[in-house]
Amino acid sequence: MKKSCLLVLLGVALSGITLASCGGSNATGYNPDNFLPNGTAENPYQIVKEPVTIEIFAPHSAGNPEYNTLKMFTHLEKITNLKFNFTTVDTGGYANRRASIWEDANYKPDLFLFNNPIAEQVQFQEMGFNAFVPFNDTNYTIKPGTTIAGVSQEVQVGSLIDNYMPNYKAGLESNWGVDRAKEDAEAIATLKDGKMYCSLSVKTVPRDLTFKMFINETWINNLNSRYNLGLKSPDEIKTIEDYLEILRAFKQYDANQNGDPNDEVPVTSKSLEYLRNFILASYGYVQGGVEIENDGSAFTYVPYTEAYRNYLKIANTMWTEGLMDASTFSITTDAQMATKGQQGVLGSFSSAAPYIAVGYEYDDQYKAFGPLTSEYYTGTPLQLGYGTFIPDGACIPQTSAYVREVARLLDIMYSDLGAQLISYGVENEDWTWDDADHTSWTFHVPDTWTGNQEDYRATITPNVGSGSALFWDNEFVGKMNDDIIEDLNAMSERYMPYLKVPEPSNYKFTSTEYNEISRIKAALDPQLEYLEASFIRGERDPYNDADWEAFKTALKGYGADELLGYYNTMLSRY
Amino acid sequence: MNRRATKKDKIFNGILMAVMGLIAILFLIPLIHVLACSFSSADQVVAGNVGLLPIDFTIDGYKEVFNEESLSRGFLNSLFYTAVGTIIQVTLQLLCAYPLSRRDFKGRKILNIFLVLTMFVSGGMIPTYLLISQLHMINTIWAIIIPGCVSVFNIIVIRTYIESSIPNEIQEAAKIDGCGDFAIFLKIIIPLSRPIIAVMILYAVVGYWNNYFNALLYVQDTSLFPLQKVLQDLLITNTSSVGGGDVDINMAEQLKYVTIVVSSLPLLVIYPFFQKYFEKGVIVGGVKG
Amino acid sequence: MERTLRFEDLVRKPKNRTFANKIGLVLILMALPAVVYIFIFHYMPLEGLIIAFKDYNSFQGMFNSPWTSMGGFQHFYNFVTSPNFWQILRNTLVLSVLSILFNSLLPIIFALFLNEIRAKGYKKTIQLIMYAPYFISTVVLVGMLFAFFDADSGIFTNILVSLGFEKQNLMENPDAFAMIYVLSGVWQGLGWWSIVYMGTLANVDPNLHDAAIIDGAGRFRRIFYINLPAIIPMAVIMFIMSIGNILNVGFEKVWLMQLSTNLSTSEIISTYVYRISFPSFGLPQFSYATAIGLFNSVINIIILWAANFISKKVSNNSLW
Repeated sequence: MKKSCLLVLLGVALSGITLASCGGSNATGYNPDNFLPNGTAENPYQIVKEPVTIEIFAPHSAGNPEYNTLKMFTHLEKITNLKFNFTTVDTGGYANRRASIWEDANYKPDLFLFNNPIAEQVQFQEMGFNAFVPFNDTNYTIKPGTTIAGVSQEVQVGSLIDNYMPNYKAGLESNWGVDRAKEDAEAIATLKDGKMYCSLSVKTVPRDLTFKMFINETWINNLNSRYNLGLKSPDEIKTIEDYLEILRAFKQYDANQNGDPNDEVPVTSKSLEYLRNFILASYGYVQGGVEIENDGSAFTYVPYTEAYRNYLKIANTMWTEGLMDASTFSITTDAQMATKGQQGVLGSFSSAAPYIAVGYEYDDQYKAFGPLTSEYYTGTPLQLGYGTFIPDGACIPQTSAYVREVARLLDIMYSDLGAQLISYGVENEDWTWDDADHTSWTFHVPDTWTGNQEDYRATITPNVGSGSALFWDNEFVGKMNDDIIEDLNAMSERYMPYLKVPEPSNYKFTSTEYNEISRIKAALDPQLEYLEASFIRGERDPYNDADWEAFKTALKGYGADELLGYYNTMLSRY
Repeated sequence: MNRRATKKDKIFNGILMAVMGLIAILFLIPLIHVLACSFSSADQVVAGNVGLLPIDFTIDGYKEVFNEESLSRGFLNSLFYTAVGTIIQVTLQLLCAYPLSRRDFKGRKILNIFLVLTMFVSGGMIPTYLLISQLHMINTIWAIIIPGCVSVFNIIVIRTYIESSIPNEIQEAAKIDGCGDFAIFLKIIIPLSRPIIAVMILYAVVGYWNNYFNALLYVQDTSLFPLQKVLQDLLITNTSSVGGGDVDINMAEQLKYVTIVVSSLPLLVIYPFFQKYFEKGVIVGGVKG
Repeated sequence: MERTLRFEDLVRKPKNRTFANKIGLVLILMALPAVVYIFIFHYMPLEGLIIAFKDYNSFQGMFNSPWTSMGGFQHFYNFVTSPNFWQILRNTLVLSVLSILFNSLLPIIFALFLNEIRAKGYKKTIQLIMYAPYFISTVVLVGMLFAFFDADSGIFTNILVSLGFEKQNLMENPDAFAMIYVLSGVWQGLGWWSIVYMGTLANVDPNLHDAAIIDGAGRFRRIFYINLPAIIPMAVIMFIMSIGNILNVGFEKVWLMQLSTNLSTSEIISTYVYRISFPSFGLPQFSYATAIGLFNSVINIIILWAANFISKKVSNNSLW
């Protein structure tokens, strides 16, 4: 009898589970004739005759409006006749949700838009999972009855890029105007089997290719005129030593002239990261992890280097002399920086734009400066570059029947229209050309709008907050007619000749290497960050050789050598 | 001699009461400080001037906080999760505890082992996560309500309560009267278990209202976020949009204190009414746990 | 309800001794929902433990993913030999042992003294106040800690600075992590965990005290020789239970309190499992994470068993 009880229980339990797993929806029948490869005579953008729904999976910044309300997507729906159904994921939980997507047999998106991890593409390719449609596979077919329910016939798709994506193809061929020797779009997009499983995120706007460091020019002028200190102007600051001298002056005198000589915060940073990258660059490396040598011959683990030690020394000096904001280690957002910035007490900081950190009231006091060199490093100045091409733009899962439709849609996003939509919306509705030659345009925020400009832009595009874009085109974005943005663009230009991408994205690991590296980093990175902080705060002494050697030994113990090994093994394959 | 002892006793009592009172006040100070900050002007809060009394008294923060969409949505979501979750949780636990308390229930032993074993073995974070994924519960309200809903420990506490506080004779008498098992449960057990049910309701409400783990692991859609997840973005990672836009930056800092008050108030207001019940409930749990 | 019991009632066999009634079908049905629930959410994940021995990927699923090398124990080997293994284990143990000590001992002491207060209203009021922190959520608690320790405006920072300490955000300081974790835990739990002991003390036979008073025993003696022994069995049970969870330091609070700067003392097993499961770099390491979790559970069970065994031998108190 006990047995029968158990059987009943088990039966009920199991039937519950089976029911739950059968509850999904079936894909509706796919009609290949509904597709319009070349649009219609009156509307070249139209993709389908009868509307079909495209399931899109995408990251979403907290606080931004829902994607189905965004102007960009409603406009695309209108011109393409597609309908979009979004599953959006908070950027903080993206890795989590992305992992669960493959567990959920019922959810089959047609498009993964933005943030597609390269490690995932590599693993799926290596293990032959046929997860994503290769954009350049000339033999690709949507097979009948295998993965997609209701497909009546085999659909020859072929190379998406050749057949359906002329804009993207032209971009790849011209390398979007970037010097191929510096960054090669095709190499970056291609995995080792010669296929492209993900389209590129292309960004050519200078201000988004690196971070920027700002310094208060008004303060420098104040101090020079009052105390005759002979401090260098932002443009003249060439070395880290010049910079330190100015920070010291900010600290010593009442630089903001409010009568309180002690309220100045000479330098702060949204997390130490930006400040570290800025200082390190003056010693010859652009960030604190593994980085390729300037001649491309090998990778180096930067914390092992004398350059890194020099960075620790100067950061330690900044900390002990009270030049560095006491909150540097806890500030993680622009808003936190702004609590000080809006009081007019910041001397120098890194931020996407000054007004984000200090508000419009103080915005014009700050000028970008750098990149710097130092007594230790006198070569070409360096600045961390984020890379023009990132292989994380858009992936089409092979379970989708709407491969061609999505490819057409993506191609629109790589066109001029796409670049306009993702940045500032629809011509003549959200912005207008100022002149017939299209040299500049003006963005229109309705008078009724109570928030700021970026808040309004967030109702148009998913770009706000996340920086997501398939094509972020300087040809359009760079022509905006707006004083603050024009200033910002001009200030960003100074970094452009010096950009260095520390881990070029055309080099790719194997999936085993990705796994090993992610394991090592999970242990190593926190340890490094802890040791770094303790050096800066003076709990360890960067000038002391014993402390320094112990530091390097500790990192070795946490697998830094192995980490570096994986990088150089990978490099030797290319 | 006897008199001297009383005098000594009195001094002892006096000191004891003073010390204990002091500890209680000490424990209350953080809450008072939060309350004071929530009623102070934003500038004073950011400057760190507020102690235990509000400075530049204002209720601007409270006016502002109710305009924040993400917070009010989190609040409503949490109300919903708490209401639905509490009903499911308390019902399932009661229904399961009763058979367990019946000495004449044939499957009692097996059921007991079946339950107790779960306290020692568990799949852990990832196997559970994979299961929830495979059940298609990720990013649904069920992912917040269902995982962790039934507590074996609570079932055993209820069982113990029924066994020890409801005389078996009453049930026997009812049975002789022709009452079925379910009727006994409804007409006798439930009314007589009111104290433990109150405790279970309180546990469930506190559990759901304060739940953060399920949301962190299983839900990434901002529109489903419960209050605690919204609070995490606001109070800890500072990635919330609350106080963004045209709200003064200092105000955003002060809003943190206001949200702490607003989000904690519901529980702080109701628990005193449950005091006598949960004291009993914890003891039952402790004795037989 | 007046009803006379007649002889027939007693001799009559129950009316419907059907099969359903015999096996207690109604009772089974009542337990069923919870049983199904527990089966699904407590037992079904157990099959997922198999991936600890495999290189799991979603496309091949739990059963078809390839086994790892070393007879399936590769992930365990990797964890135990990983450079931060001892650090994580130490952090977990430090937080756990300190929490157990503070959260076991302080409530006992608190209850013993609170029990001595004769003024009932006063006692109830103190209890009421002490329960309040327990109802504050972990997120809010940690949020309060961050606000109080803010380097610029936090009240605790201000107090510490006025006492002559260096101005810093203590939350970032790895050396202060355990202290903040434990003390905030005491703030939340002291009142709550003393409830059990207050209940036990209420049941102490008053005659024992009367007899002791006649023998001339003072208050402290009576506390020590009557009340303390009365709550020791309960304390031992609570202690064993917490020992059994020694590696299960609450994930939530630690996770929320973590900053990149305090990770060297704040990374514990459960947070590491989460971090490795959903890394910002690379792929989810589900198998590795599961292996770590399994390792954790096995150690817990062993410790629980050992604690129970010792307690049985030493004090005759045990869980089973």
